[in-house]
Amino acid sequence: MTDTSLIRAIRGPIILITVGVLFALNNFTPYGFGKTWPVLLIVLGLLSLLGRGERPQ
Amino acid sequence: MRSRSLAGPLLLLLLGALFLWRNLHPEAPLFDLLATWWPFLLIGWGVLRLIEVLIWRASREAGLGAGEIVLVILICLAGMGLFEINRHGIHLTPEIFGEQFEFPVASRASAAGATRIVFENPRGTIHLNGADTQEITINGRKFIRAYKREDAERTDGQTPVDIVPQGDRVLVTSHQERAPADERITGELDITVPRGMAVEAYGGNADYEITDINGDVDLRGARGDARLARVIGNVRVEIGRSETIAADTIQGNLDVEGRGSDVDVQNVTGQVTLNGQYVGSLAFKSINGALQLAGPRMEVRAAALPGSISMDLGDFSGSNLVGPVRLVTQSRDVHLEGFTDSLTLESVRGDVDLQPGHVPLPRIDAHSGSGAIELVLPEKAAFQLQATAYRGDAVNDFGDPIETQVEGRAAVLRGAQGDGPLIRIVADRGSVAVRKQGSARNAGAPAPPAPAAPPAPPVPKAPAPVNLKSSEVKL
Repeated sequence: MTDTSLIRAIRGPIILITVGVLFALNNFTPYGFGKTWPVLLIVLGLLSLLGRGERPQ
Repeated sequence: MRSRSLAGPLLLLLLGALFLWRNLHPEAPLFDLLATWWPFLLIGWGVLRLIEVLIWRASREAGLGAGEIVLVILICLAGMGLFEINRHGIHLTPEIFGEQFEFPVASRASAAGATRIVFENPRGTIHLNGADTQEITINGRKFIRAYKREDAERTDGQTPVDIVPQGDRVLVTSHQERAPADERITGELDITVPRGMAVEAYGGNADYEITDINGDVDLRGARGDARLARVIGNVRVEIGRSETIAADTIQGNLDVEGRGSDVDVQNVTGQVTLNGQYVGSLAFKSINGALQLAGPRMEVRAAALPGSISMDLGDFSGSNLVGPVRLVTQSRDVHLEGFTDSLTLESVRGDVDLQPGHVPLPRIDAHSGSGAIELVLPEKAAFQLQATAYRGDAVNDFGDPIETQVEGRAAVLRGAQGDGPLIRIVADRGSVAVRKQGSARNAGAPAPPAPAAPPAPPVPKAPAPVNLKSSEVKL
């Protein structure tokens, strides 16, 4: 139970950090946001996967 | 001490510090820094929240609040905007808050032993003239945008326009890389060089005007215009974005590549190639060598162009071309008058009007996706004709030698007059017409005035809006 709510709690900050990193890559490397945005989907997917995996137990 | 995040107060602190810094040091490139480093604001914020969550495990709510999300999105939009503005070379601070200072430039050096003059990263305008001299002379002005006159003067001192001999070449450099990031230098230079020198320029945003040069000219830049006149040598212009590329009287080949708007080329003895996307008006006249224009969904080739070609996004008109001629266009009305040897034409959309003019006729293979094709031939010309309109009418002015067949919506003209080249015309949607030179005009329109050529196109167009209107009414 604590794990599930922990994941829910860190979801926001993790997404925030991911967005920040992607924009930093956009500004400092040739990998533009136009190319890297799917990472955001992957991170979202992973987070919801983790949250779901914990819930039934 | 519960549940309230530290992020809010810290953000306020940061904002306050940034504005204070800006007010105390107006010359600091704050916007530039912000434009590139803002993503770390998000990262820092995220890390802070993460630490809060992990340390005070009890004190968390689920995820970010709505207000925070809105703020994050606003920061992202503002940051992206700033970054784009900055990347396109607009540095907010000096452009808006600075002032422009002007300094004279005068420099001269001997050109003995040098065969090329090379510009590195020029910015501004360069007028280069060849003359009967042994010296390189530079005169002009330099503009520096800065906050204070002292700053601009210091920058002026650090960035002299130098003429540096290097073996067989002479390098002209204005040391703009030495200028501070928040100051901007442009120049307006008049340069005289010995006539026989080749000219090269790399990088930078500069407009060039080059005249009376007996040597090759090679201009490469990110942005700028090029105007060339009276050059004896091969010319290559590779400018990423231009407004105008003009070349007049070139004894040699001309090679243009990039994106831009207008192109105006005339009197070239060699071949002319143009590669890229040019969306303004293009004009070519009197080219002795082969002409080759290629762009997105557009291609023009001719063996030579004693006449002229002019085109823009909606029209292509050419007169007096030496074939084999090849023309591919997406959506232009094509008007081609006087061409030899052969013509291959592929038009997706637009009306086509072909008047080969000379006898013997060229071979013609023309296809139009949507649009009428009209062919005007001399009365006595010899030719074989195969004209197909899959959905449209067929008009034949030549009478008996040519047979008209109508099958459903398709109409075909087939036949031969004398023993001549094959003319194949296919219009997928639109009519095909074969008319006689001279009489064609009278047959086409009932009573147009003497200069019938320009008024002719509106005539077939006129019914179209009427139809549209009536169909709209029905709808």
